[in-house]
Amino acid sequence: MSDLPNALKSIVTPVRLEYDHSAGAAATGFLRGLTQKKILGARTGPGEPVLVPPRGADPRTSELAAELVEVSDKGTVVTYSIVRVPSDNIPFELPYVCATVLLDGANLGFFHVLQNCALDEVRIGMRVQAHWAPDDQLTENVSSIRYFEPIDEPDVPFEQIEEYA
Amino acid sequence: MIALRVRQDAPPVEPIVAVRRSAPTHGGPMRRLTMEKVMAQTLAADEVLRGPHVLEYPYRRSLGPVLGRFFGGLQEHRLLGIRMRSGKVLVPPQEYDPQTGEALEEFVDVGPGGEIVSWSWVSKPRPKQPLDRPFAFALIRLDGADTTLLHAVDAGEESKLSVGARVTPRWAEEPGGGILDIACFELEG
Repeated sequence: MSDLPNALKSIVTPVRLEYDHSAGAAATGFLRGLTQKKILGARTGPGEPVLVPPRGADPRTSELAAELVEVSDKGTVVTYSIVRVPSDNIPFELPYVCATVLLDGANLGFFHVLQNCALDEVRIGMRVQAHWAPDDQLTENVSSIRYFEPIDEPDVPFEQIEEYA
Repeated sequence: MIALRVRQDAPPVEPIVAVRRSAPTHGGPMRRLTMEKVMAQTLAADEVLRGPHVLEYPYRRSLGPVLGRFFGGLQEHRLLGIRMRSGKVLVPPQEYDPQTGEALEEFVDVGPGGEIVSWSWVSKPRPKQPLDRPFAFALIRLDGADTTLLHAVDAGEESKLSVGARVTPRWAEEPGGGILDIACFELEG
């Protein structure tokens, strides 16, 4: 056949799933805490690892993690990634940094966006703090923490955060 | 089932990760919970937050030379198949002969009419399906083809459908690139 149509290079084939999501008791506590600028984790008992955001159970033992604990809104970058791919639901200017932040008092990294930080300055061990939404915009949503940003504190040596990096 | 009530005073959703998370909502009227109650985790069932959670990936898929022609053809209201070594015609076309593995390149015009080989009635269409009223998903063998194409048939009601019924494409008013450049098929005559 000589008169073939022009070939399309690609098509868009979206996948969309709509859930009615129940946060469950543990995450509800965490989300309620955000409305009061508190970051809550959960643990199975005193001296046990603090999971942030809280899970209903300790993933290692499946033991109920019923004790909520407030942790700091300051923490340490334990790993990060630079995002250069646009997405229509991301309100940050590209490129930006996503980081896992080990909050002071927590034993699990907390995933969020880093702002006010040059790309070539972000590093493992860097100290950061949550930048909260204005008081009248605090909701039961993780975006009540708008982002994390660097603070003027000395880096944490890698050896101290190695197991979280 | 707890009725879903969307907070009207919630600010615009500002998701931070690759999934969309809307602000959680409450099963009933807003209650003020004390931190003591939250910390003690003595929440009643209707105090547990719930809300819509939409996961959406806008995949763009690369077509390659053969499907690229097929989808290009749809924009010109042409239906293309490809001839296998055996002489049979595959629709939609494939790059390689499923029987011999040889590269295929002989495009063949097929259709536009065809017949229903099998169908399934959709009485309650979901939001992203091709039609917003009851319709059939059908396997359609286009004239000149030896295989079937899956598409929607706008038949109005189930009783009008039968195996062997003749159908013809209704083209989309604005081609957007994709199988829905055929809006659907409809019964002939």
